Amino acid sequence: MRKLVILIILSIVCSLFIGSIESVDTSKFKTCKDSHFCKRNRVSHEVGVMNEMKSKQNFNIVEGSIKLVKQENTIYFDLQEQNQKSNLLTMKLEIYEGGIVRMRAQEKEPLLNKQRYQVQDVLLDTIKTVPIQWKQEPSKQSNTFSFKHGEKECCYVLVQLVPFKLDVYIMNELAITTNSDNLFHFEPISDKPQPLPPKEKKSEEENKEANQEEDNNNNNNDNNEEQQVSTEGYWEERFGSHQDSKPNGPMSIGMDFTFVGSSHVYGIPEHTTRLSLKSTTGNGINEQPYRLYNLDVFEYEIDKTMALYGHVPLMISHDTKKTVGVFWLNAAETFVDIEDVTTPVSPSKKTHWISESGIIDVFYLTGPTPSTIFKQYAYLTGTTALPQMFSLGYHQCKWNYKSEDDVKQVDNGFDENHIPYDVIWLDIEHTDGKRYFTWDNNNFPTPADMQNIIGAKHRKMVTIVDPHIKRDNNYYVHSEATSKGYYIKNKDGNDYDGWCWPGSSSYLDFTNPEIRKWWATQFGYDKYKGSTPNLYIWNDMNEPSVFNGPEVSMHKDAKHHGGFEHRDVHNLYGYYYHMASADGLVQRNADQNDRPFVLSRAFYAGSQRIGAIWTGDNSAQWSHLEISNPMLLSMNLAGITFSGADVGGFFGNPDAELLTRWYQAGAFQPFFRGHAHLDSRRREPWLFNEPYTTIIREAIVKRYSYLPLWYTTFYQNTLNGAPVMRPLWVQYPKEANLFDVDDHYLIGDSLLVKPVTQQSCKTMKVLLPGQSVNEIWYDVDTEKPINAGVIEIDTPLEKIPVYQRGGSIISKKERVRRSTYQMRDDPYTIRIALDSSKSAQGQLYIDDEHSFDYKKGKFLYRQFTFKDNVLSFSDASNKSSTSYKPNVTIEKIVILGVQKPHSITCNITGKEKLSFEYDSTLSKLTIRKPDLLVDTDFIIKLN
Amino acid sequence: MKSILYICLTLVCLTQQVLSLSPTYGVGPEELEYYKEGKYFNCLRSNVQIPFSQVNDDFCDCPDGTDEPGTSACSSNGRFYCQNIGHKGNYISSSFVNDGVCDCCDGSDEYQLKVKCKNNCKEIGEESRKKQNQVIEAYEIGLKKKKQMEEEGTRVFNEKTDEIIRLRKEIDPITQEIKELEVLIEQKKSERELENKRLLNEKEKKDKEIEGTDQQQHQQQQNIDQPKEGEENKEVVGENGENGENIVEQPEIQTSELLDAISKGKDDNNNINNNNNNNIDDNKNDNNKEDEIKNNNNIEKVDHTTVNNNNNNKNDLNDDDNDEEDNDDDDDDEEELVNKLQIIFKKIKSIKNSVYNFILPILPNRFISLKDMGNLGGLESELSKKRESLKEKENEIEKIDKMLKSDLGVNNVFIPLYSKCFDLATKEYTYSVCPYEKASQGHTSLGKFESFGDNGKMMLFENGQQCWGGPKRSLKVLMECGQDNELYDVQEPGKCEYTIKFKTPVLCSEEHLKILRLEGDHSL
Repeated sequence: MRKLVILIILSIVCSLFIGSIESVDTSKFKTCKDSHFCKRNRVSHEVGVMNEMKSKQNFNIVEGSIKLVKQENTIYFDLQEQNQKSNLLTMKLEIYEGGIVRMRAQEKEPLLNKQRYQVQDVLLDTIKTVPIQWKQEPSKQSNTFSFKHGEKECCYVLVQLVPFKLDVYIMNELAITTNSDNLFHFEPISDKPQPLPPKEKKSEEENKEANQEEDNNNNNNDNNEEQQVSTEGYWEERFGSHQDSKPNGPMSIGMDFTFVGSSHVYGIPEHTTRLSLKSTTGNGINEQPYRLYNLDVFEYEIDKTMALYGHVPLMISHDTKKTVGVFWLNAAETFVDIEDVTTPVSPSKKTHWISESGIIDVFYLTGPTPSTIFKQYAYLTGTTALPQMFSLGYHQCKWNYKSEDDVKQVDNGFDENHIPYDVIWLDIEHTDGKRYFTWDNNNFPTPADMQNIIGAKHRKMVTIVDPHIKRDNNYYVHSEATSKGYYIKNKDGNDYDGWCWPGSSSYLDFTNPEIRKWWATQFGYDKYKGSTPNLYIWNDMNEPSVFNGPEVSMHKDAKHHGGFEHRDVHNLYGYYYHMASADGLVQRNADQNDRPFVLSRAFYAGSQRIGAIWTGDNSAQWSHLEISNPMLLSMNLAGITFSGADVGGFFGNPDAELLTRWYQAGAFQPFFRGHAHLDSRRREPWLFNEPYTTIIREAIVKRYSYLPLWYTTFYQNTLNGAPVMRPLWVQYPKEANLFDVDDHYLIGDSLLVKPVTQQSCKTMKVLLPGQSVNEIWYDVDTEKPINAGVIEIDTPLEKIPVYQRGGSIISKKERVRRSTYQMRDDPYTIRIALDSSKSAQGQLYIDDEHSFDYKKGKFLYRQFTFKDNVLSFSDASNKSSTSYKPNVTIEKIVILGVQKPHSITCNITGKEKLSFEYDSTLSKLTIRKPDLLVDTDFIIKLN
Repeated sequence: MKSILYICLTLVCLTQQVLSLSPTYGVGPEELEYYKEGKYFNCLRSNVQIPFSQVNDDFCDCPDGTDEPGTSACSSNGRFYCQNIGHKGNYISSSFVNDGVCDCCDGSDEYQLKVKCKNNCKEIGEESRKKQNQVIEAYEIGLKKKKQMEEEGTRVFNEKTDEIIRLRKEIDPITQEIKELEVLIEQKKSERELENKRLLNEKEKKDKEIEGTDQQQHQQQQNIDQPKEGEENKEVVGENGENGENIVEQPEIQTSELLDAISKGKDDNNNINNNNNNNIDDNKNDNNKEDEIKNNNNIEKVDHTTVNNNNNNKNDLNDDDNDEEDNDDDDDDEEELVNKLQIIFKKIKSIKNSVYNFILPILPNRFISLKDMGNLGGLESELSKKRESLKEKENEIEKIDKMLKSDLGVNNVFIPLYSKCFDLATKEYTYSVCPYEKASQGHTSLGKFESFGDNGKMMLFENGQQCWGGPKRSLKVLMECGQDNELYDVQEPGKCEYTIKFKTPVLCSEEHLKILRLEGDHSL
C-alpha cells in the first residue's frame, strides 16, 4: 500500500514535471508588472490603475535655448520639466541623408560619476547629416518652430515649445507625432539619497506635495523620508531570488509616438505574435507590452509579447498612403505598448516606448514607401552581408552528431538518398567538456581529417562556439582571459561567475573592442586546433544565457567596459559576440578573402551585417511551424533577412507529415537548417520512409533549383536593404486586404509562397495579390496562369504552393547536385512569366559565391527584359566587371503566356536560329539549348 | 591511362565549350541495345520519342531522364553507368556526373576534368574481391554454423517434444499416488482423532479427580492485565519446554492447543477452545512472543530455500485454517500470531528431515520431539515429496511448452540462442541481450523480449526501466549474418530507444550467398 502511495505521488510529480517542460515557465520571466521602471512609465496610461507614483511629466522647451548650428546641421534646445528648476535636458535634432530625422535627449549637466549609455557600433560610420533650414523660426507667439531639409522637400518637422511636442510631416501631412500623449518620461541620473534620521511626520498636505515632486526630483534629498514608499525599486530591485543592486538608481526613459492614419504597425522582432503587431493597451485589452530584452526562453509559446533571443527596436507603420518608421536606438531592456487611437486622425496607432536606461535616441524614417523605408533603415544600420552560396543551401544539424563515424554516415546518407545538402553541424557535445575550440578526443580524434572528408565533396562543417568560458585553469582560453582581465565583472568587481553548459563559467566582455580583437584571434588555425578552412561557426547562448542568473541571463549590475552596467548594453552583448566571431573567421585566412558564416541566436539592429540568425529553440508542433513565417517576416522587415527557423522543431519529435511540411516551408525561407534536441529521435530526411523521403527530397531539390533567385535577392538587399522574404503589402502597398497577411510571402519580388502549415491540409485558399494591377500568377508546378484574387487549391502532401508573378524573370539551376559547389558551373534555366501586357523583366547576380572579390567588381549583375516579343539580356549595373567571365551558359529559356512564334532568332553568331518547343495548352515556349554565355549581351526575337 | 583512352574513344570534341558524347556513354550493358543509332530514340520508361541526335546532347528531353545517360542534364532521375573495368560496374546518379567528385573508380564520371580522377578500379577491385571473398568465406562459415544450429535446434526440439510427452505421461501415476497418499493420511488422521478422543475422555475422568481447575483458569485471566507476570509466564513456558514432549508427540493437535498447554505450563490439554484468545493476549509484549516471532522469521527464511516443498503445504494449511480464521476476525494481531504459529508447526510437520534438522537448532527444544514423528509423519513427508515431484514436472512442462510455442525460426534455428545471453562491453556500460527474455544496459533494464520484427531480422525488447522525462526504455536488436553470435554497435537514435546490432549465423541465407557470389563474379 505504501508503495502504491509512493507510486502515485511519484507519478503526480512526474506529470507535473512533464507538464512544466511542455511550455515556457512564464514565472521565470518578467513582464512590465515585474519591472519597476516599466511600471513607473506605464502607470500613467494604464486604465484603472491608480497613479500612485507620479503624474505625467510635462516637458517644455526652455525659452531662448533653441539654436540652429549650421556647421553641425543640428538644432539644439533645452527641455525642462514644468515647475522644475533643475534637471535640464538638452535635445539635438538632425536630418540625415535619405529623409531620416534624428532626435536625441540627455541630461544637460550629467553627474560626473555616472553616465548614460549611448549605443555604439550599430550605426554605420557613413551616415551623414544634411543641412537643415527653418521652415518657421521659433517664436513664443506661435509656440512652435519647424525645420526641413535644406535642399530636398521630403518632409518637415514641427516642434511645439510648451508643452514639448514634435510632429513629423510627410508630403505635407502629419505622419508621426511625438509626446502627443505626454508620456515623455526622463529620470535624471542622481546620487542615492542618504538615509536621514527620522523626522516628525509631516502634515498630509506636505506629504502630497512631496509625492508630486519626488519622482523627477530624486536628488532633492529633503523629501527622502516620503520616498520610502514610492521609491521602491529605485535603488534596489528583486526578481525571484535575484537582487539587482541598481547603484545608479532610476534612469529610465519613455516617449510616445503616434503613427497618424495607420492601423498597422510591424517590426520590433523577436516575438511570437502575428506580423501585424497587436494592441497591448486600450479599451478591453489586457495584454502586456511587447518586451525587448534578449533572453534564452526555454520552450517558448506562440502569440506572446514576451521577449525572446534577439531584438531590433525598429517599428514600421504602413497604411495605404504611406510607410514610415521609428527606430529607437537603445540597448537596455525596453517595453513597447501599442494602442489603437482615434486622435488626431482616425484611426491611428499610438506607441509608447520605455527603456530602463540609456539616452533618448530616435530616428524617424519618413518613407514614404516600403522600399524607401528599407533604404533608410539600411542607410543607418547596413544591409545583410552577402552570404556565401553554400550557406543558402540546406544545413543538417542535430544535438548531437556523436562521432566522426556518425558524421560520415550522415554525410553518406545524403548521397545515398540523392538529397543535396551543404553543411553538417556539430553541437556542444563535440567539445572536450564544453571547452569551445577543443574536441572530444574519444569521438572526434581527427577533426581535421573529418572536415577534409566533408570538404572533398565541397561541403562544409559548422561547430558551435558559445560565449560562456569554462572556469578551468587548465583551459587556455580561461587562463588567458583571466590573466588579461577580459571577463565581465560582477557588482563587486570580481570576474562574473555564472552557470552554463560547462558548469561554472565566465563571460568575456565583448563590448570592449580589445577583447573582440583578442577573441577573433582565437579562430586562427593555429589557435583553434583541428579547424580547417571548411569549418564555420555557430554562436549560441549569447543573450547571454546564464542558467542561474535572473531570467536565465546576466545580472544587470554586472560591469562592462567603460564603466557601463550590463543593463545598459544587454541587448548588444550577443551582437558584439557575433561580430567578434565573424571577424575571427575573416582574419584566420591570410588573404582575408573568405566571407564568414556565423549563425547567432541573439541579435540586435545591425546583426544583418554580421551573419545569419535563427529563431532559437522552437518545438516540433504545427503551431511553431505556422508562426515561423510571421516571425521571419518580422525579422526581415527589421533588416535581419538571413534568418530561419529550425526545420522539424528543436524540441520533441515531429511526425512524418509535420517534418515534411516543415521541409517544404524551410526550403522557401532564407536560412534553411534542420535541427533537433539531444533527446529527440533522429530525423535525417530519409528516416521516415516513402513517400516522405521523396517528398522531402523534392522540397530540398526545389530549394537548390531556386538558389540563383535567392542569391540575386540577397545581392539586391545589399543595394536596397529590401527584405529577402517579403510581406505581400511591401509589394502591393495599396491593397489593404494584404496588411494582415503573414502566411503568404514573396521571395524578392517574384515568387509567392504560402507554405502548408496545417495538419492534414487537403485544400487551402491562396490569396494572389495585385488585383488592382491585373496581376497574373503562374503555379510553378503546373505552369498554369491564374488571375490575382483568392483561389482554392488542392494541397496533397507533395504540394508546395508557389507562384511566379507574371512580369517576372527568374533564373534557376535545375540540375540537381550534391551541394551548391557542384552547381557553380551548371547552366541556367530562365523562367519568364509574362504579365497582362506580355512583358517581363528580372535580374541575375553571379559571382564566385564565396569571396569578397565581388566588392572589387568581380561579379555579373544581369538584366533580362522581355517586351514586344523580344528578350534582351544586358548589364544591370555599371559596377560589374567586364573581366568577370564565369563561363556559365543558359541551357533553357521557358516563356509562359506567349504565343507560338514561327521562328526564334538570336543576334549571336552561330546561334542565329534557335530551336524551340511550344505547348499550346499552357502557352508555353521552351527555347532549347540556346547555350548562351551569361556574360554576353544578346537579343532573342520571337518571330 | 586506360581511362583516358576510354574517354578519347567515346568523346568527340566539337567545340571548345560543348563536348559531344557517344550516345552510349554512361549506358549500362543491359540497356545498350536501346541506344543503337537510328532516326529516333524512344525514352526507355516514358512514352516520348525524340530525334536520336538529342541523346547525350546535354539537354534533358525524356521525362524519365533516359536520353542523357552520359551527362548531368537529367540529374533528377537519370543514371550513369560506371564501367569500372577491373572492379565491378555500377550505376550512379546523373547528378554526380561532372560534379568535381570522383564517384566511379575508373573516373569516367568526371570527363570534363574538373577534377583529376585516378583509375584505381584495379586496386579497388582487388581489395574489394579480397573483402568480398572474406565476406563470402565468413558467410559460408556462418551458413555452416547455421546448419549446425538448425541441426541442434531440430534435435533439441525433438528431444523437448519427447520430453514433454514423457513428462505428461509421468504426471498421471504421480497424481494417482498423491491421491492415494492423501486418502491414507486422512485415514490415519481419523484414527488419531479417535485415539485422542479416547485419551480426552480418560483425561476428563482424571480431571474430575483433580481439584481447582477453574481456579487456575481464573488466575490465568488475571495475568492478562499484569505484565509483571509475563516473566512468570516465560519461566512457565521454559519449564514447559523441558517437558514439551507431549506437544510434538501429537503433531495434528492445533497450535492453539499447544499454546494453551504452554501457557498453562501443564500437560493439561483439555480446555483448549475456551482459552485461545486469552493466552495469546498474555503473551503480548512478552519475551515469549518475541522468541516466537524470531522463530517464525527464521523459518520463513528457510521457507524461501524450500519453496517447492512448502507450496503444497501452504494450500493444505489454508484449508485447515479456514474455520479458525473466521472466528478470529476481531483481533488481527492475535490471529496473525496464531496463524503464524500454526504455519510454523504445520510446516514443521511436513518438512523433509534435512530441512527439519536445519530448523531444529533454532527452534526451542520444548516444541519438538523427533522421535514422535511416527508413521503419519512419514506418510506426509512422502506426500510432500510426491507433490514436489509433480510440481517440478509441471514446471518443466510449462517451460518446455513455452519454448516450443515460441517463434523459433525456420528449422528451429533460434533454439541454440534460447535462454542464452550475449554481452557487449562499451566504455560506459555492458549491454546484455538474452533472446526470448530480456535486455539490459548494466543494471538498467532495456526491456523484456516482445517479438520479432522486420521479417525476423529484428528482436524487439520493450517496457524496460522508465526513462526520466521520457519513455520506458526499449531496444531493437538488428540482426545480420555473421559467423558468430556477437553484439556490436549500440546506438540511441531516440531518447532511451536503443538499437544494437547482432551478428548471428541465423541470419545467413543461401540466397544471399548466391547474390554475393554473383557480385563477386561480376567484378571480374
